[in-house]
Amino acid sequence: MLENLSAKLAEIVGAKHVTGKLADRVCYSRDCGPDKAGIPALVVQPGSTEEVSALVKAANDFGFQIYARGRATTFLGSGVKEGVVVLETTRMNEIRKIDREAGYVAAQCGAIWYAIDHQLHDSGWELAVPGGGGLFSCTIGGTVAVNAIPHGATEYGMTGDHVLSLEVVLPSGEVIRTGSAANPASEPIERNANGADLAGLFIGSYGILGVITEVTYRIRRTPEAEEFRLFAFDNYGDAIDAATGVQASGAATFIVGLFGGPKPNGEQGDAFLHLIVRDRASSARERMREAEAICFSHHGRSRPAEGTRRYWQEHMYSWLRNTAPGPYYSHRPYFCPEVAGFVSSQGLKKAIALFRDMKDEREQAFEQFGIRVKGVDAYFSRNGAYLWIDTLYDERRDDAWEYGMKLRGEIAERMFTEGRMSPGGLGAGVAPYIMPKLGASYDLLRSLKHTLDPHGTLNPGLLIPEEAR
Amino acid sequence: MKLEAYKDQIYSCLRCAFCFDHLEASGRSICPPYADSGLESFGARGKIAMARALLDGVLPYDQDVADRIFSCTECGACEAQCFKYLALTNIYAAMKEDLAERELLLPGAASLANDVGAQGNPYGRPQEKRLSWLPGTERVGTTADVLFFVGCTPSLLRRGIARGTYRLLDACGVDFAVLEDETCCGHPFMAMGLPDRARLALEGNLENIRRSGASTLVFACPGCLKTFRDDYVKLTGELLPIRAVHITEYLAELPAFHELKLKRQSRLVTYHDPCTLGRSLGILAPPRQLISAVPGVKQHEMARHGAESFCCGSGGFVRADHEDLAITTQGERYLEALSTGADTIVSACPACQTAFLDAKQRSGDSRPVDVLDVVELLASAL
Repeated sequence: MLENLSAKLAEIVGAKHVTGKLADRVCYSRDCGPDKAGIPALVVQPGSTEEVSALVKAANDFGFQIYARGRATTFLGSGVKEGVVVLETTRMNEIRKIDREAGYVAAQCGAIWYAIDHQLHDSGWELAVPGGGGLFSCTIGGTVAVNAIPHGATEYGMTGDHVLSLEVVLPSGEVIRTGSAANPASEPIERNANGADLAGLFIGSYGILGVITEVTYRIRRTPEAEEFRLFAFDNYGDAIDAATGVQASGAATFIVGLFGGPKPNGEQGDAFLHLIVRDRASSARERMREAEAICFSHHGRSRPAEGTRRYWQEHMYSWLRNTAPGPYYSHRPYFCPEVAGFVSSQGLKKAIALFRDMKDEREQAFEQFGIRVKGVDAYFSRNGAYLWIDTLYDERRDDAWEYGMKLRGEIAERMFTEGRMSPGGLGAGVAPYIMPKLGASYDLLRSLKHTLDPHGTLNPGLLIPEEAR
Repeated sequence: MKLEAYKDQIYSCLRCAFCFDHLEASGRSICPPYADSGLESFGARGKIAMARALLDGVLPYDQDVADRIFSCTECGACEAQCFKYLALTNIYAAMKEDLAERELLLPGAASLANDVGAQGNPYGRPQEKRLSWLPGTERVGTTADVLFFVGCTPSLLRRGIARGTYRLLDACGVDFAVLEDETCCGHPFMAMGLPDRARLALEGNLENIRRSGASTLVFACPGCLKTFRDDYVKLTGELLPIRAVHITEYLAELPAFHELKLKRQSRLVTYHDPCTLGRSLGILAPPRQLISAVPGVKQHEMARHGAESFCCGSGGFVRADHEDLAITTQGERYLEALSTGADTIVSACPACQTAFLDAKQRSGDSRPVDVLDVVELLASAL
């Protein structure tokens, strides 16, 4: 049976791009997160939209399940089940068009986000957000599929906000284009054309409703100037008030708050705000003066901001804590069962207090299992904040892994209720803690999934936990 | 299992995928076997996933694992780009040792190891041919301040490198000798996962080197240099009792070299950094300084150069079992070199030169492109 399937897939993509060898298959199981996953029966690597379409049709005909993935750089759980087919998109990596007049780039799903941005930078342009999650190696298709939380979110918004058009292979194998590009006579210049926002259906859907095969994404000229500041606060309430004020003023391109975990190297205080402003030189200075004034009015202390600059320009989180990547990351076997989500800016006060209480209550267990807190950090968005509660466990210890996963569940339960948090990127790991709370909204998602994918062919279980069973 | 020693590192892999791509150019890989196969198991993240599966008992050491591990060109690009700063090449070396212990060497590698054992070189050539490139015997087996360790490939295949090095040392008035009974340094054994045999090869040579009374060992082959400079201490736990340098380092620091009146040459050179010499040993500037010393020579860098250079496809002796991979990789690098507009491709490694010459021949390109080692270029300007 498996040999027949392998032969069928080889007919579609070529024998070189299908493998059933165990040495290969063990490489396509987990993502970057802590969730364990199954080993697929086959791995297949299509080179075109037509091949993706043919593979999905074959999945329906032969009755197998497909997990589509790019570089699998999420921390949310790949959800890969034992014995499925992993469809890996990295062969589809062409940057197809850069149209500076219309302000977009079109790229196949497997193109590396950072590489696209780098190519644009050479001519003074950039992608409309600097990249989801900070892992340079992510693909554009995967980043849009999970709607990763980007740097620069305070001014620039979310990853999905700048999608102009998607090409998607539906669970039936049909290929659609969204927005203005749905009309073959038109171009991919406007997402909000031709009726309902179909792109929105697939952004953040984690591939359960279709495989994104091409993305048309907004670009802009790289701003002339960048200003950086770091403020220290003696209590996190002041820091949140300052951030809320800066956010409301529209002064900052990006505000990152640190409310837990290690303090920036050499700094004292309870909370810290990194501020980044990008604009024309004169406007950037003026905007930063306004942001500074707000921070000072909330008892903030201005501190050296070299770490802020390096964080922004190198996209390395270690610099948020004034630490070079080498000593920060090195080779420590710790993994992060993160819980993250959107809260209102003022709502951060309650969520942070809640987590600090939870940590205090579990002091003995943290000690017993070697649990550390990497960070309680917030990316301020346009209308709220995206709070990351990052704990760490020792990957070598089974008991630490078990406790780390239990802890994630406990934090998620509390945050998604009392903490009023709503997660953004969702994988197999956190979905069970939020989806059952969504009521009719979740019912609608399940109906959509069932309508588009009645056989549960694509990425089953990723947003719909009961499919994982 | 040798791999156990690296358990902490293996469990530390974040699986971030920094080790696959040229992060500034979509569609370009930094890893030759991954680029060739497209499968993660041939790239660093996959190799660490296999290592984890081996430790966890999910995967046995078998021929498929051997095929993937021995496809590594040991270029070190993955390690240079690793987000977690893992000693990836050491982990691969441990896997090779485990495979060799289980008699899972690939056929070409096993044959190569046998040749080195029987003949003292990986080419199956008789030992007496080793010195037949020499212009005379006056420097053979004598005592001298500097010993030129010629290496198997310059001795037997790329003799222009041996002759060029000899001529340059001679022209600079260096008191130097060559060994009468030099044998393979042990580098191929390291690549095959046979460190004990590498240690024996090293120690055999070192005994002869001690007798020469030299205080400095000069190498034209980066592989030999790495074996003495880096591997010796790992294999024996002792510091190498003699200074070991590459010829380009040695000449760049030698006042007599800079006093030479080199003849003008009209060339546009692109310099290919050998992975072992550049990324592994950190010798990046000296070859470029020496090339610039030739009047009339201009240099154009390839897009991927210096510490971010791309492999020529010859590292790790992969040609023995993965010839197609070597040919594809050398072809890609050759075209990248030509894209600079250069009329001369210069490297500082006999294996790289062999790869470029092979790529040139296979390309069928009629453009007049010279493929030289840096010592050949310099010697031609004497």
